[in-house]
Amino acid sequence: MTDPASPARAVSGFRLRLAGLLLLRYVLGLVSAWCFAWGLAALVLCAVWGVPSRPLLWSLVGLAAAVAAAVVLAIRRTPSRAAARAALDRWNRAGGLVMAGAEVALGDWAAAGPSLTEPTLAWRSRRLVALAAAAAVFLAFSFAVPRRYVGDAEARPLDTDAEAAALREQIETLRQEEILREKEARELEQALEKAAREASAEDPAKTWEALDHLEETLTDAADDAAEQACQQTETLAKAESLARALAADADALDPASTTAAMKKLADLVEKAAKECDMLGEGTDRDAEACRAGRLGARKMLALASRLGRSKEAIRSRLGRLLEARLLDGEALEMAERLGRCSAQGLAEFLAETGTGGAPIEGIIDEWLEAEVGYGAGGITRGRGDAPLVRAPPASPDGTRFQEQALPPATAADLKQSRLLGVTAGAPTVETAGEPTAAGTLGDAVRGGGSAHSHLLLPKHKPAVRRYFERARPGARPAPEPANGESP
Amino acid sequence: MTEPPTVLPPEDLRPASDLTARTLEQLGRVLLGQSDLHRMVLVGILSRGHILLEGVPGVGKTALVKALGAVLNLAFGRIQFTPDLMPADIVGTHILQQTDAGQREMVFRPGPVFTNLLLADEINRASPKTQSALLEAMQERAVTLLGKTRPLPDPFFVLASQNPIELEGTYPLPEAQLDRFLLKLQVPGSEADVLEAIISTRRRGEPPAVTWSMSADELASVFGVMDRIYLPRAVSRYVSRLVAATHAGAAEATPRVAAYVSYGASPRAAIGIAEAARAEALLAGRPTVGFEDVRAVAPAVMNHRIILNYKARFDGIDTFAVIDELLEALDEAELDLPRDVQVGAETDE
Repeated sequence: MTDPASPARAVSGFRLRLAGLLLLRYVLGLVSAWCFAWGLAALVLCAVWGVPSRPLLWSLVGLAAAVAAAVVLAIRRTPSRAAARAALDRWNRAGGLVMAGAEVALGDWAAAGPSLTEPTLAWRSRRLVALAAAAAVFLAFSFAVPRRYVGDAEARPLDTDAEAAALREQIETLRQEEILREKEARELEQALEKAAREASAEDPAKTWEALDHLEETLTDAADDAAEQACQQTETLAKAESLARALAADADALDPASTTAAMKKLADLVEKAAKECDMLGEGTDRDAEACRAGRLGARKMLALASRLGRSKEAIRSRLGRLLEARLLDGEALEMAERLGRCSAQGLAEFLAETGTGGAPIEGIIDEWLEAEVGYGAGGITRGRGDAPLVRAPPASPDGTRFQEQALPPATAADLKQSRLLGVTAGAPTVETAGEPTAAGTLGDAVRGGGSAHSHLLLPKHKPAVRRYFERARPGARPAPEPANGESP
Repeated sequence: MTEPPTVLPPEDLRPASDLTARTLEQLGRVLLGQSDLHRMVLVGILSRGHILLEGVPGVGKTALVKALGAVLNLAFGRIQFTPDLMPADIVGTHILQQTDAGQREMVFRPGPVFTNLLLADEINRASPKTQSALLEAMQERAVTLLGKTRPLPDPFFVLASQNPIELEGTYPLPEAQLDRFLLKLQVPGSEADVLEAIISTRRRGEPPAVTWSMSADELASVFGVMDRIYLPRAVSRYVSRLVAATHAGAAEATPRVAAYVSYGASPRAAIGIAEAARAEALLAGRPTVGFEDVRAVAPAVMNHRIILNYKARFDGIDTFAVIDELLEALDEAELDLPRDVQVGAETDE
């Protein structure tokens, strides 16, 4: 101890180091405790009162309080100067000289002793550091964990954002398509906003019911619009097909049929104009011209194009409703089916039926109905289950059978004959002793009229048609059979 | 204006320290291989305390006391305690004697206790009555007979011995009387090298004569220096805490103290430790008492003053084990730090 002030300096330095170590220890301990406590408090506040995490960040000022408390504890726990001096005496093996130096004068001993060294400080900090790290992780977790996992199920809001957005989009779609009026759309939007605002997990059924009601309202409006669109599509398709058929082959019809078809077209155009406001101006004029039979082929085609565009516009509208999930694919399919009407098929039909002088208004309606719904029927038009559209029945006027004397044997056999059926066909003379034909028509007399009791197969329809065409007055003569027999 | 107190200057301490060192050297010549025992015996002498030596026969207890008396140049007396030894055989008695004038009067005949250094050999073989007579003289350093008190010579030391074996027919010293002894020392046996040296260098085992002895003035000066050895407050505090902690209910009592100690050390133990620590500091050539001095003397001062319970006997725990744990557990500097903070220890992290 060459320097008399050395012990005092050593004592001060030792106490300072010890105080620093204690401060670090208490800071770690108290901050760990604070982290655990505040993390727990954050979870509880969120779970019980639904307090969000961001306002809780203000509690970081608690760290300052923890550090201040650590400073106080460290100061209080720092050994006194006498204790520090005793520790220095022990560490330097001074045999009490350092301790005595603070109480009595050391005299010559002050210069005889060795210089003092401060004792080493050891701190088993591993556990406390691990605790502090765990506390920090816990605090971070308590603030980072999503509130919905922590909060009270009844208190936290119900997440209806996706549903509300979808409904909002549907309302907007209906407004743009003018299916909903502006006032109705606004009211629905307000109802939607209210339901979303009041949505809470406390009563989810109420919220879902409100949203379901809104969705049902929108769907009903869309369904009504789709139904109306289907009807318009059907009318437009019929008118378009008829217009194109008349424009394509108007000369194939006789004048009466042409007039009837034009009137029918005029009716359809007027009906379409009444149902659909997309046809534009000039439609009524065209309808009038058509009714008067003055609409030429070119204007007819223009009218058909306008009708087709209107049909496409309706289809596009339905497509947008489908995209907004207001409709299902079935509605669009129905509209497409109703809008699918073959003008060529109608032209062929008119060419076949509109030349006999018979009224064809009903026939056109029937054909169009069948075409729009199922197709025109027949082996070359539409599906097999489509109703058969027949031409007007042939008139029996002026028709007479060829007189032919029956052989006696045959007349005698009538008494013992049995009635198999009545046929419109001409009776045939059956020679005696000739065997009857076998097979599905086994009961029928060869050339006789028992065929009506069997199903008329589609492949036989042209034969039947040719038979009746033969009897129509003014019709073209049927070709002679190759074998010379009458049909 | 008074001068501030100062510690003993080196020039005053050094002669006394040299004397004690020469004393130990002489004792080491006489009794081989017992340097620690010699040191503690000298500590007891310098502390003016009585010493109880415990050891098996033939380990050199008597030779040590004789050598000590010769080195310190003190009158030496020896009493072999037996069951029929009477108090008068120790303290002396009055006898009827005719004077030169022809008259008869009671004349006091001093017993062997009237000496400077008394060896009470096998003290536990005397009856309690006789033991009490000696122990009273040890405490009072005076003898009172027929109403007259006669002081014993100064200095007066008793070095008693007792045999830890052959306990049949003995009278173990009661705790209150054991407390009169400043130190209770265990006299260990000698190691093979020491025994070889004894056999090869000493005819019939007779110790050599001392070659130097301390004069009465020198002894007085050493005692004077002893009184000037400074005891710092932190050390006296440590001694007080150490003695207080020997009681089972004390705040700083260790688990062994709480479990095995029936009665802790008396205040006399604290006084004895302080004095013995001063002597230890003197032997170390220091003017102040340090913690290491206390640790060196505490077992010898306290081991016969702590009374263990039966549980300690069953568990094989003796007082030395209890004291060792106390010395290990008690922080001398009383830093009162948290458990995970240590001063002067190797860091493990």
